[in-house]
Amino acid sequence: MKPAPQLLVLTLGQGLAGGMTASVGFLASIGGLNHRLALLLLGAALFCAILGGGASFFHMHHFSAARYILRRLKTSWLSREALTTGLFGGTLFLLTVATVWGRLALNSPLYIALAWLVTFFGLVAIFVTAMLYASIPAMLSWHSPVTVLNLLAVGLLGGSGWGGFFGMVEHGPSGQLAAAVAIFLVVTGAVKAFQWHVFSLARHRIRATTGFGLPFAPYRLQDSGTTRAPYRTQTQVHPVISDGLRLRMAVVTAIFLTVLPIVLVILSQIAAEWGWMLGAAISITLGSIFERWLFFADATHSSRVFFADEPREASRVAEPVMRGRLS
Amino acid sequence: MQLTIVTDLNKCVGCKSCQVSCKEHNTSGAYGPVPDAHPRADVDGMWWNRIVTMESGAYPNTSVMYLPKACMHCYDAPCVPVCPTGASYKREDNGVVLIDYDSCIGCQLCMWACPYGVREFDEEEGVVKKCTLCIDRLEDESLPEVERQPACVQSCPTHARTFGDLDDPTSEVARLVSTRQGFGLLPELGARPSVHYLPRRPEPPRVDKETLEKVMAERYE
Amino acid sequence: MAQYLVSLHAQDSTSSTLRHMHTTCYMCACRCGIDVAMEGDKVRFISGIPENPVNKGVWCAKGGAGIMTEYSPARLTTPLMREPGAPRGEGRLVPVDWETALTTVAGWLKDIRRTDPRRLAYFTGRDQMQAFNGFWARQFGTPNWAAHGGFCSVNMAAGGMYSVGGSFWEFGWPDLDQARLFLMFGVAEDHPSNPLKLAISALKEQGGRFVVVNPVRSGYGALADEWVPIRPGTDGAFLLSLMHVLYRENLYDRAYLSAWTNAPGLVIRAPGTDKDGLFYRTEDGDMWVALDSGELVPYAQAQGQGVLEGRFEHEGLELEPAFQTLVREISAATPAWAEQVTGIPKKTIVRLALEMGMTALQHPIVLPIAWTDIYGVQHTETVGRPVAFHAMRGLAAHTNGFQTIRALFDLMMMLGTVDTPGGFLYKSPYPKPVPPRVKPAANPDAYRPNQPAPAPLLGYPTSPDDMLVDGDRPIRIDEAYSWKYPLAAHGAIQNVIGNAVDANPYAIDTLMIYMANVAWNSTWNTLSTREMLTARDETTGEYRIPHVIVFDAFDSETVAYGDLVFPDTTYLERWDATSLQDRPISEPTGPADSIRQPILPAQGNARPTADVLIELANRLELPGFVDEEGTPRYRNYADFIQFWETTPGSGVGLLSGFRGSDGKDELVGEPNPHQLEAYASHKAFWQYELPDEHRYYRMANQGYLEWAQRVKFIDTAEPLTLNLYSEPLQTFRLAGMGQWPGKSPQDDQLKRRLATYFAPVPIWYAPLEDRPEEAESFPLRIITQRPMTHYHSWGSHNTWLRQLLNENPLFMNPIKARELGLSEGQWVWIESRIGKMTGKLRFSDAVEPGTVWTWNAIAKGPGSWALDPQSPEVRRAILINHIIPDRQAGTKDFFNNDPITGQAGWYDARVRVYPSERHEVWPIVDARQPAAAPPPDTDYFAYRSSQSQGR
Ligand SMILES: Nc1nc2c(c(=O)[nH]1)N[C@H]1C(S)=C(S)[C@@H](COP(=O)(O)OP(=O)(O)OC[C@H]3O[C@@H](n4cnc5c(=O)[nH]c(N)nc54)[C@H](O)[C@@H]3O)O[C@H]1N2
Ligand SMILES: Nc1nc2c(c(=O)[nH]1)N[C@H]1C(S)=C(S)[C@@H](COP(=O)(O)OP(=O)(O)OC[C@H]3O[C@@H](n4cnc5c(=O)[nH]c(N)nc54)[C@H](O)[C@@H]3O)O[C@H]1N2
Ligand code: SF4
Ligand code: SF4
Ligand code: SF4
Ligand code: SF4
Ligand code: SF4
Ligand SMILES: [Mo]
Repeated sequence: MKPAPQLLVLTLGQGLAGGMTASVGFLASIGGLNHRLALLLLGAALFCAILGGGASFFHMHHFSAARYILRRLKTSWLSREALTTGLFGGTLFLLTVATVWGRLALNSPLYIALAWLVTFFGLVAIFVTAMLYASIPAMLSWHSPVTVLNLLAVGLLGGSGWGGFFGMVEHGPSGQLAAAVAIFLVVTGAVKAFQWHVFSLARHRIRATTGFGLPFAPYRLQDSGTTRAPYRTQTQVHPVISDGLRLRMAVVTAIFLTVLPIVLVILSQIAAEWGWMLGAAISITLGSIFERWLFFADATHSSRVFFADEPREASRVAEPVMRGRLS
Repeated sequence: MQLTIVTDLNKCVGCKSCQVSCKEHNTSGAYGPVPDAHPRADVDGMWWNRIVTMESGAYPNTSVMYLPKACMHCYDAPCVPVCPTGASYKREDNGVVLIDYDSCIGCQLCMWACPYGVREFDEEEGVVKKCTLCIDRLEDESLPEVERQPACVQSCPTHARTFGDLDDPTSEVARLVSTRQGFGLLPELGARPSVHYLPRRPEPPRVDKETLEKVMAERYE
Repeated sequence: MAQYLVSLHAQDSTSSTLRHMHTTCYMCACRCGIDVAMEGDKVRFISGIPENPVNKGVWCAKGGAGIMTEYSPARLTTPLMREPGAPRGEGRLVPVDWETALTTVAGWLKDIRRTDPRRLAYFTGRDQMQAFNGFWARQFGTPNWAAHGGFCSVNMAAGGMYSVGGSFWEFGWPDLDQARLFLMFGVAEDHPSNPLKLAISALKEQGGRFVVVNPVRSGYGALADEWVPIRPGTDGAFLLSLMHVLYRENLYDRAYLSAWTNAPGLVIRAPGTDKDGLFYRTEDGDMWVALDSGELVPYAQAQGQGVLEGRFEHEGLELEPAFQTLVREISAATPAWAEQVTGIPKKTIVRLALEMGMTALQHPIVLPIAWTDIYGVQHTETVGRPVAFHAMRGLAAHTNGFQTIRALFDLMMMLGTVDTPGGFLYKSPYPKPVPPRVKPAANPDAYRPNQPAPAPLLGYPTSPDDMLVDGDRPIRIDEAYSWKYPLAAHGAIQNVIGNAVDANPYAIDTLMIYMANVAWNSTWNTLSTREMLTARDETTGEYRIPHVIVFDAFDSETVAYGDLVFPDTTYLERWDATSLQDRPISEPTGPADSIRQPILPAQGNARPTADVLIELANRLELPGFVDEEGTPRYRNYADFIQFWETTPGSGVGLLSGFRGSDGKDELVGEPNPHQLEAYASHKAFWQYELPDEHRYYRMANQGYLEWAQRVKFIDTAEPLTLNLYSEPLQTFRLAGMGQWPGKSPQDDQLKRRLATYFAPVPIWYAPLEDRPEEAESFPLRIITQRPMTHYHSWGSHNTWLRQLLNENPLFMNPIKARELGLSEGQWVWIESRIGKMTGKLRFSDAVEPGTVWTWNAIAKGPGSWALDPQSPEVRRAILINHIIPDRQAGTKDFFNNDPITGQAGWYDARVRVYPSERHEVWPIVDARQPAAAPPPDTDYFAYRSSQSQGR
């Protein structure tokens, strides 16, 4: 499908914010939080959250109806997302204000509890967002618990990367921080690998036999109703990325999101230089962006059966002449 | 009551009359317009009903199939619960799934939720649009009887489409579905589409095999 | 930028009430009845009229999209004249006022008519007023008029007229309400559109079996119970072998052949004499037939008892029934032979023949309808042979098409299905005599200055004496009715430009083109044809065709070539008639016709073409249009429709309903000055239901024939004997062999063609493009199909229809592609013997492996049709006309036409396909200047007839 920039920013921002808040809680819990560190991390988290929230706002096209957005809390994960993301953003803001205000002792049980509470709201927000994707049967690639794990893992990993970096700047090498990052790296790597498998299964579920009740496969789509598939109006289907692009993006994602950071984290510990950790955090963030792009771009929607060919058959969709206009 | 359309794939020739009559009626109808982009250049527009052409089987046993695809007015319409504002809703009195443009925020989540790719997005108005089962025709008492049915049903030159209440076992649609093995698309996704299709039913050759073999062997081998 | 077609504010509340107007659709040639709902001054909705006999309330994609044709940005709204000094073809046209345009053209035409009326060539494309146009040209006095039939389907029309006095298409029809078996040959997706869809639906409803014979499976073919993929151009062989099996299995209707066809007629066998192959006739001209007893009696007296086989001698002449000649021809056409030619397994051929024969003979339909035949025999019931056929250009558009279609009709006669329930049914005013008794004047002196032609310009020759030749020299610019194309019953529009440029047989002054896109999709070897239109005489520097006048409603490719362009209105803005004098919209159940009425005002300064032609006729004082004093009889076409009669006082005019001063007469009656109003208030059509006893066997139904004579469909109530054997063809063969006493060709090549192709019983020969020496170099056949959503070039300026189809790949069977090492989506060269072009490959298992195909007329020239030059129609669509040869292989003397009728051999072209290094459509012609600056493109275009309910 067409990855909407707003959704990339929203999910990345929300994940990073949640992850960074978690770092705050973690650092506080291990007694490693100081004021500067707290402000840096909370500031960055708030920045990401605002970026994400802003993006999600602009993902709406019909602002005047925004007032109805909480109407369907009972059924709609999007309604719930508006609520939980708002709750997270709000409490994050309050925690930041409280931290700036400076009256709360940073490593006090109260602060620790508050930090973990906000983190909890953050994780709930990520969970709800992830459920929004995971609960749609038609989004064949996403309709699985892996989607929830994936969003949580990538968010926590991103946050821990930055937590590790800021922590190292303040305190020098910390085995605990490095271990936390490393654990998230391994978990995320595993989740990601599993999810790509799920994506591949989803692609192969696109079959005319169910889509059409046709007796003989293979089938060949000759026409989707208009000469070309509807780029503007069917964003959940088009464009379909090529095998080559998918593979390249997956390799790049794997390198930036896990392989390179692992090396960098290890180097940071050996060399005791926070520069390596900064590299790891940046690499993870870039990797998350690639990961998220691929998460959207490569998602298979069931209606693709009516708009594109079976795998391995070239798509009938011609190159658009006016690329600019159609992108 | 569940109003719906049943299409006989044994009769659909893929002429796209229903695709155009849909746009023709609805662009000026209560839920219009049904817009287009770049009408003079690389035109790309909104259609609530698209005829999909599919080839299957290997030559010479090739089959060519046309499938008119609009909103399936699902019993368990997945587009409805996902909608945060309640803009997408299913009418309780007749099962028609509709969108209230005034409360739609244009988030397009319903487009993801719909398994069939029949919802389309109007960028200018910022709302999602789709087949309304021509509800504005069905309920307009000023229209003559022949027009109080979906435009796509009225125009279909092969009378492949039948409109009616699937929940009424005496209706024509219910009869067709039960007697002709009517099926819905992508049943595994659980939307329980009310729109049904009737499969092909090829007429076999009118000469039996033995007669043919005999004639062949006697005179034409 | 958003563009709404209706302003957001200015709509008063009354505009939301709908006004319903009735008229006849013109988005294709089907002529369905449509209800146009108007909201204010905008079209709200177009739908089918339920009572209309053609479409019975349904409408197609094109019909519904008529709204976008009305509001097309490509409309011409003012007369245009080529900019002084600008070369022709670049589209540099400037608006002129009507008076200037009319005076200029009237000046040219007056000059021509005064000196040599032949120097006006008037040719029309898919127009629907051929009766009027033919009358206009005849009054002008030129022989050079024809409509589009030559490049369309004259083989189908002529093949039927010379066999059964009717044909498929607008002249006859498969009775799918009752057929048990239906075979469709060479019909794409939409011919005709709504009527055939309704009929196929009826067939499916009653459980009939549907077999499609076509190299491609799509459209109607997709619904077939069986697809018979045939090699293009080989149907004749297939049909002959079907007849072979029917004959051998004794599955043919002897009684039918003896009673209603000339199969028992005794043919003289006297090779080398001028009688050879002609019927042995009585003094009154009746055929002799033999009875079982051996006794010879005139056909009319034999009462259907004539024998079909045997040899007889009479007065020293050797005689044999005509059927015997057919039997001889088909005896070699074994299924094994046909399998080699057609690619259809012989077992399939035998099975299909058995299915046909057994269905026809062993499962007849018997209707409780009594009727009386020409022999005076009263039948208590009507017997039908429920095997129906339909065929079109897949048979017709080959250079062996005429004989193939003859074969199809002979097969139908063998099965006894012509005008019987469940079979082929005529549409009024058909059947006509075989062939219909109209002939153009054959004498060169018939076309003199300032006088009308003495006879209609088109018709059906019955012997070489009817040829329009002066020795071997053609009289007509298109060489119709010359030795090259003797039975060119529809003229040959595709020959005109080439001949005019070569001054062959003579130069012309003015070419008038109405509703034909001859600079693009209805021409072949397109690039050179475009050059011909701008070719100049080397010595004088003048154009070889000095004046080109174009009547068009839209800014087509051809408009760019007009020296003067007349802007027509759309079909929703003019009076018009579909007429029994033209191509009827009748049903098998009886005659019908309809009108168009202006529902919207004309846009800008557009004027209906017929009105313009009448204005010109009045200025030229053409007889027939003005009275003795020179006073116009008709102010406009509406007048013409109501007052014109075939001959003064005949009571027969363009419309058959609401005739007579009180509007109470039907078919025959005085002109009615309120006829159009009467139609308008009767939902724009008129229909007459034949009583049951007149509905079948009409060629031999005494009651029907008498009625048909009374209403002037036919001159006399004589039986219309079907021609299993075509004596007219044999006369041409005699001329070719130098044995015809009358007009004959001198040139050897011309003689050879007559002798070879004019067989009196159907034959099959390979299409003329199939040359053994090229079998390897051009192994594939390339053909086109019409898409259901587009009517030739008409759809690409229609915002809605454009989206349904705006680019076209070359479809190829993957089996063949693998053989050639080609892959899906690859750019390829498509090369014929005259040139090459590129295209993008698309695999399809629904095409016979020796054939490649694409859609017809989707590609557009840059600058035309108000399209952006980057449009997919320009950049991604291909036009195979570029590489379809215009001349017959190995000669400049003949066009790529059927040697009998002059039908264009569109589907004979052979190509090779190989990878292309060019990844774009090629060739692309130079961009022309649009007739008017097209409106700006927009991101958002939304048509609403009213904003009252809008957001
Ligand atoms: N390769 C290939 N070529 C083919 C064929 C094929 O099968 N394959 N088919 C052939 C056949 S059968 C035919 S009939 C021809 C058709 O070829 P044409 O007769 O040339 O048909 P059109 O492309 O429809 O072009 C007719 C012109 O009519 C104009 N027009 C439309 N409506 C109106 C109107 O209301 N008034 C006026 N004055 N003009 C109007 C259009 O703008 C257009 O310029 O093409 C032939 N060409
Ligand atoms: N929608 C739409 N309808 C139209 C038109 C249009 O442009 N658009 N044009 C109108 C006009 S002018 C005409 S003439 C008619 C033409 O109506 P058709 O004759 O149906 O049209 P074509 O597209 O020429 O289709 C020819 C068919 O013959 C097949 N064919 C080609 N060669 C052979 C062969 O050798 N044997 C057999 N058995 N089949 C073969 C092709 O695959 C194709 O399916 O349609 C009319 N109706
Ligand atoms: S786009 Fe509109 S209708 Fe669809 S889910 Fe969002 S608010 Fe609901
Ligand atoms: S087809 Fe799609 S839009 Fe229609 S009711 Fe079902 S899920 Fe909703
Ligand atoms: S029911 Fe109405 S809105 Fe739905 S596809 Fe048919 S015409 Fe379009
Ligand atoms: S109008 Fe009827 S025949 Fe044509 S595509 Fe639609 S359902 Fe099929
Ligand atoms: S078939 Fe369609 S385009 Fe042709 S006349 Fe009928 S409604 Fe019009
Ligand atoms: Mo045609």
